Amino acid sequence: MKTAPLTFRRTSLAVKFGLMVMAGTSLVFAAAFIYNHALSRRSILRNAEINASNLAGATVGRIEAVLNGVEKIPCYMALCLEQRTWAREDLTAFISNGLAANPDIFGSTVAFEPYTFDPHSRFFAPYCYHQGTDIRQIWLGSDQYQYFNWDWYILPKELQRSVWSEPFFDEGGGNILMTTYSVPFYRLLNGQRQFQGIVTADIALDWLVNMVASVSYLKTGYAFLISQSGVFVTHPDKRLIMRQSIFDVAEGANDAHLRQVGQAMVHGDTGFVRLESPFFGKPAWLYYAPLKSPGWSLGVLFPEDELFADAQRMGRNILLIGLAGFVILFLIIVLISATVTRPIRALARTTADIARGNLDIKLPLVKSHDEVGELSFAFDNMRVALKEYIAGLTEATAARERLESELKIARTIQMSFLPKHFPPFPEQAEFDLFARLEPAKQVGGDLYDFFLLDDQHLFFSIGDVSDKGVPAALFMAVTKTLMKGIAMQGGLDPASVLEHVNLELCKENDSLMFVTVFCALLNFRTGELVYSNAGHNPPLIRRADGQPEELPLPKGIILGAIEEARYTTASLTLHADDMLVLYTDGVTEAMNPSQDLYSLERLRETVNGVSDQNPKTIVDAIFQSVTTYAAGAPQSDDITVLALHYNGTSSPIR
Amino acid sequence: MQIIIAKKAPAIILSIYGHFNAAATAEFERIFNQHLDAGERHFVLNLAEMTFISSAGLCSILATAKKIKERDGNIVICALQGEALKVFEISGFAALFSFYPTEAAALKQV
Repeated sequence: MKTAPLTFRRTSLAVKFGLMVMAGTSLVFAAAFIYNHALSRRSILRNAEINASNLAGATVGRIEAVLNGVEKIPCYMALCLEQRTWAREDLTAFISNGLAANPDIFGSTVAFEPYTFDPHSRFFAPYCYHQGTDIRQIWLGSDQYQYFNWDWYILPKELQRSVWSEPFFDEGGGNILMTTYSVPFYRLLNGQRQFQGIVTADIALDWLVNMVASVSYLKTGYAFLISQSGVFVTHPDKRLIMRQSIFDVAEGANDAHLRQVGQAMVHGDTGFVRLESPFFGKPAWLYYAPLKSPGWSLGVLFPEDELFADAQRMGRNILLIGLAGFVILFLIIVLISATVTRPIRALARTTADIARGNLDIKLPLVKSHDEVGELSFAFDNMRVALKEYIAGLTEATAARERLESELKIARTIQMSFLPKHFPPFPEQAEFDLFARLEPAKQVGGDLYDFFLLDDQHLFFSIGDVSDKGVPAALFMAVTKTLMKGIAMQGGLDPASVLEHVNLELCKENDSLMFVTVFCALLNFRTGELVYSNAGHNPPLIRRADGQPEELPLPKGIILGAIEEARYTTASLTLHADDMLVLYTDGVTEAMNPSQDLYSLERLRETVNGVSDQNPKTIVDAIFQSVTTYAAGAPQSDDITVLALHYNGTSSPIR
Repeated sequence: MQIIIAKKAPAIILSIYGHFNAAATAEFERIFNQHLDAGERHFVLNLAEMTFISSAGLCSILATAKKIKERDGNIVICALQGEALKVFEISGFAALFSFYPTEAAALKQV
């Protein structure tokens, strides 16, 4: 048996299964991870906003508490100034005392409109300020410093309300960051409220700077403060303070979004926004809230990566744990699969052996009652069935070969006993003879024979053994040999020849075989034909001027049936161009595919249809006609035809 | 060919339908051997519906008859007619068997 070698190397089922499960779980894990990550990001962001808002709120509260405290002093002073007219000394003492009671305030002035306090003096603005532990006093106002043209004076005057000034550096007083709270005060003159001047309180903002600087968020997050105009009041980067505004930064970074944010801050809004890169060089989040009274805005700024650092670290850890889990999971699956598929692999190895023809191999025992067990069981059944089938097939093949070889032997026996040289007697001009036997596949045991008994007698015969195969062929051979032997010993009477042959055949005929025989003796000098028959089909005779007719036959039983059988001889005379056609029932009983018989009628028509006098022509015509009629239907019996044409007695008797 | 088997004591009656040619002999002999082996000894062959018999068919009947005789049984033929009867006569088989016109007549003689 030829089988393809099992050389293809494939990924094992276990690994394949593991990979598939891994792919599935990875997808689920990845989806869960991404969802969780997004969720935690959102939650972190919300927490950050709350924290930052708390932080900013607290800082704003603290700053405003201080500022509100500061605001009260000049407001109180303005109120006092409006109540009565003050003497110069009283006023300076009033300012100086107020300053002494409020160390938070760096300096304070009461600046009057020109010529209001003193109709002769254009400037009247005593300014007291802390100098170490002392309180000093100077007079503001000169041609160089016309205070009533400065913002701290004009703005509250015009707006008619208290105003916090933009922060500024006090260059005279120690170069510290200051801001001024200016409160306008009025007097009722002639029932009219008339502007008198401005009370101010300068406060140093170093505490503010420190307070805001102390605010930190996450690792590098910080707080900063911008003024009404967006200028940085506090910022960890000192270079920005009082020099640049948030809009300058936006301009420098060409960041429109930051500009909008700056506007919102200056406008006094509250918000939580993501900024691209202007402060940290990387994305950051900003929470901002206003300081109501001075109109400033506090921002809490922190880089995004710090915000998500924990989440990212956690995500990385989860990923690592997941990865390790996957590796372990994969190993477990491979292990389990390998256990499950072990019997299959064993089965595959065994099957390869079976394929090579080793059907006695024992299949690996699979005890489990699962699919693998079933498969193994089915394989074993298949192996046994295959073994039986092959054994059966071998036997059948041997039997068929034996039968075929027997049939070949039978055919050889049959054919080797037949005379096959035509024309058989070329020197005899009185007759022409031709015979042909076509054995069926199973060999029917037909026979024909002809030989000269002397210089004027031709003995010829045709027969059919009632069995098939080797026994029939042997029986045919025996019959033919007996008949020839007996006829050669002076058998000029066909009936007597048949009786002798019958007697011999009946002896020891245990196999119950019979043979039909028609035999005849032709005196070709005279044309006299004597013949006898043992159960054979009547031959056809076609007279020179007539239709083919069945030869009238004497009764005679088949040879080999009963010892006492008696046969009789009949006779007739052949004339020139008479034709005798002897045949076996293989001709008339040949069948077409619909199992109709060829029949005697068709044989007669065929014989009648051939005008040629050559016996070979007529024999060939009959075979041709039968073959055409059978149209491929298998030949079930031997077909034999012997034709004899009598040429007449024209030649002289020797 | 079809063979109808009927038992009418003391004989087995086999009725043959259709063509009795070489192809049918195996079946015919198998049925006969079966009944012989079962102990039956008397047979009637009803050939009324047999449309054709070949020499192989004749030989099969003859061989069977010989076997029956060896075992001291007998076989008779009934209702043979037409072409089939002619075949029996020409082949000389007519001399070897007893023929009866009807099944009933045959049954009386077995």
